[in-house]
Amino acid sequence: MEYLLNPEILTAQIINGLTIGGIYALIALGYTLVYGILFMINFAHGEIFMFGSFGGFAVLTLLSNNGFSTTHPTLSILCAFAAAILISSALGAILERVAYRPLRDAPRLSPLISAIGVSIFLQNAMMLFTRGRMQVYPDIIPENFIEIGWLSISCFQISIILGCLLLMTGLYIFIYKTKTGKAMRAVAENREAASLMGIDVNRIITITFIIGSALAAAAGVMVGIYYTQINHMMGFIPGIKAFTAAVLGGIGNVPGAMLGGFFLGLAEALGVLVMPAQYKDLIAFGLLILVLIIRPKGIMGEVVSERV
Amino acid sequence: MKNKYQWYCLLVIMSLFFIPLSGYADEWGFITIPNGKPIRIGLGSMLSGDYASMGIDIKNGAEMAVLEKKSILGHPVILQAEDDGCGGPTSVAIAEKMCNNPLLVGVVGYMCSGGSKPASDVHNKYKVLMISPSSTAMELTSRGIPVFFRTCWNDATQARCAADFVIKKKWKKIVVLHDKSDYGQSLAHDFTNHISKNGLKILATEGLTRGDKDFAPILTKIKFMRPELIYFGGMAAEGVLLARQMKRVGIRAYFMSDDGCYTAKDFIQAGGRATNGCYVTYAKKPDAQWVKRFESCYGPCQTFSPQAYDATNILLEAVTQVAKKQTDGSLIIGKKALRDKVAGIQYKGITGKIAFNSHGDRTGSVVVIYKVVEENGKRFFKQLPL
Amino acid sequence: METILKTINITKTFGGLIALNQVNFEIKRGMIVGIIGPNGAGKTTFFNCLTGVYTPDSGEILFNGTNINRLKSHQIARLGISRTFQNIRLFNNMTVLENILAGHHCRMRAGLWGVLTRNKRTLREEKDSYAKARDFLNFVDLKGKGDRIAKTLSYGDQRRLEIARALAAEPQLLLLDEPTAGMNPSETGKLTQFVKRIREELGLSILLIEHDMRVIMEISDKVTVLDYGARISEGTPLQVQKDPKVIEAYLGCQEIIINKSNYPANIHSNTDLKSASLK
Repeated sequence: MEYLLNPEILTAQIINGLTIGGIYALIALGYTLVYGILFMINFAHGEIFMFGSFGGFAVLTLLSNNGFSTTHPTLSILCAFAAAILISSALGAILERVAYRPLRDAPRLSPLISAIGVSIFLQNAMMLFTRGRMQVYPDIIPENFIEIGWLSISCFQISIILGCLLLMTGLYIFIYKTKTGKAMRAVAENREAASLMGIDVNRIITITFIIGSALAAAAGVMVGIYYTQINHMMGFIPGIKAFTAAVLGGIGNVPGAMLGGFFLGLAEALGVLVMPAQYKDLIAFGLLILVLIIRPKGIMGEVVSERV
Repeated sequence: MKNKYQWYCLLVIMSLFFIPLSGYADEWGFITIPNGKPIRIGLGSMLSGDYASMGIDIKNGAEMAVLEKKSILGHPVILQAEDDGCGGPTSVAIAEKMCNNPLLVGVVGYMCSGGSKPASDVHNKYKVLMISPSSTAMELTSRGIPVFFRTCWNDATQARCAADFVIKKKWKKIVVLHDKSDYGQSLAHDFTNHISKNGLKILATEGLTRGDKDFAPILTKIKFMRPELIYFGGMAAEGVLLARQMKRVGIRAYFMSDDGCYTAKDFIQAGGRATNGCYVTYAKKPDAQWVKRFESCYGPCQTFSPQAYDATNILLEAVTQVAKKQTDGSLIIGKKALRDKVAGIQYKGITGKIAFNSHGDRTGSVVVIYKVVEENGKRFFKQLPL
Repeated sequence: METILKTINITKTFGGLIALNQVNFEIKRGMIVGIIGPNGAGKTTFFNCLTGVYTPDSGEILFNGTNINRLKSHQIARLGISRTFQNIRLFNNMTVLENILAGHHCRMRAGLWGVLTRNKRTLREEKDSYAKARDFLNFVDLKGKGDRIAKTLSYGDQRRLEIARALAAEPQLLLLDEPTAGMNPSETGKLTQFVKRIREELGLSILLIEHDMRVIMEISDKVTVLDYGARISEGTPLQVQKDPKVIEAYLGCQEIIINKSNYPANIHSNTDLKSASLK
């Protein structure tokens, strides 16, 4: 308890919580977008995140091997993001086409099982490709620290938090201001009516997968650069946590997923101060249960749902 | 037709009598390898999943030994590698599978203590030998399982070695971390015990989750305690993240871990500069010549391949000495005889002299302290003088 | 006048139930055609076939001379058929204006790339679409309610919003499925005038399913009667009204049809028994 009263440690923990929370939020958005439209949980989303991370890794390794990254570090990192987004988006679109679309009118459990299958498939495919070895992101830019007294804040943390906020703002604008975003919401509200209004539902669903995957890919590269080591299992825990965040915020609700991600990150970071760290996950999932008891639809969940 | 069948039965029964008559009684029974069939050596380790790279390293060590041995008394030797996922239920399933294979003489494994423990019960049921290259949990050798041996050390040895070092260094403020696994917890526990016996106090003990990447919250909390040393019981995946994130959070303490972090690729290479000055406990360096040979085939030698190589060789050696060739070309191996041979073996392996005590643990001190140092632009584990 | 939509012998069955039986139908440009029939006669199924929700088992649907049998809903919408629903299906949690914009979606050209890069053309297009959406908002008398969430509108407003959304798709043919259902006489009267205005000001062809005979009488150029999935009569409202087959289909309801001033002029409730047996 004494830690909670110390402003320095509290600030440090809040920044820690926001960093990981931002990453949870980016992944959670993918879950929530897909759920909003298809009412299915894309359990392979964690693996899409993992593939994005590996995409960025491949590009950065290539660029650091030929020396390009030492002369143009920022450009290299942008390339890594672009490659990761490209790979994950393509993967997301293919998954939707191959694993989910044929099951769209099947009972709800079928696409769920399909998703779990795809998730295991992707994990193992990557394991065979990397021979199960851990891969290490090359150090492209040195990590600088902002030191304020006892506090030391990594510039990586600041960039991750800002990057996440930027992407989320972008997504928000996309969904609420652009025509494609409006079409996405229309499909989420009523797929049949949207189709009869001339919206190509299949195209919108593909775009939804692409956007969710692109956000996960961005999170993947951030994780790679920040934590440096990646392996084929890296999507599992963040996937579960992000799913929790999405449910916390109210699954299907875009601002909810963002809020849920940050909420979970902060809860984990601050929870460590109150009890021993081994209970970190207990805090996260206990919180989920608590929120769901009080608000079964999540923090920002719709109060009235008129799903047919 | 019926007549023929009866004759056949009689022949089989007669031959069964023939075995004890020929003077090889064995209270645990026999393994019979028919003429032309290979002798199988089992291997149980994690070949996929989080610690697959460590598991594959073990497999490589065993494979190398088997490939070098090629055959015993005219029977080829082959390695049957199984992925036990490091976990209880899968290890039990794999153990059942291996023990029920009539051509299998013994198993090198299992990799994790959490898998070896339930598997050893299965092996005891069928009296099939197992030699683990990497399961270091105390309880494995204290449960009175006669068929269990290990070529590695146990956690107590390792933790005591680490604790002695800490006491020698006169570090007073110590934080202990573990990864909540059997392995990590038992190390943390033994380390704490040994430290407190010597009158030192542990500031805090915290657990973290395997597979997690973000330890900044725990470390921020620990930073507040201003420790001189952080001891971590766990594997390289988390260990290297701790080492890196300690620097990030701004903890200026020493970091010490166990054999799980003794891997050049996953610890030193992955951690980069952040691993400079980290301590790990691990066996004495294996034979340099062997390392060269190994690395020419499989790439960088990681953690337990030397122990796996030795374990496999001990098994092969014991089989060679115990197996009796029959006139029809088949091999007969007494299970108890095989076990007793291993229990009493004096083997000169690449990890040093190997002999087992009555519990199946290796005798003599095997663990030493390594420090990550950077010399001439190269970073490596340097063995500290005893 | 040219024919805008024509169906030739379309049949649709669900399991053993024949929902549409060899229906031949035609509507010319600029016409308002009413479709009537007891509940369960197949009227909505007919609409669903026209809009690609169902694919007919046999027969042909020709829109401006091209066969649209196998097209998907959104493709048909793009060709120029737009509709409303018997039970309102708005995008409830979106604003009124966004609902109309969603309707206009199929007339916008920008692809995902344009949307993401927000290039000049896309921005201009989006600006135009907003202007258009506001026009439609005014057209349906929902001025000033553009920023309200659709589900908070009154029932009558929701009906009009649904029509506005359909109009925003810039159709040539508008299908209205019971637009006056659940409205009081004054609302019904307003809506009738409004449908007339749609034809006059926007020059659309309109096909409407309606139970309220006064509406049918007042605005239809032609009436088609369906019963048990088959077309049993067609003609001007007066002709149809006198057709003995129609009277028989509605059984004891003929007085209601003839007595126009009698409110509620809704046959709906009287045919429940029959529809129940059909289902």
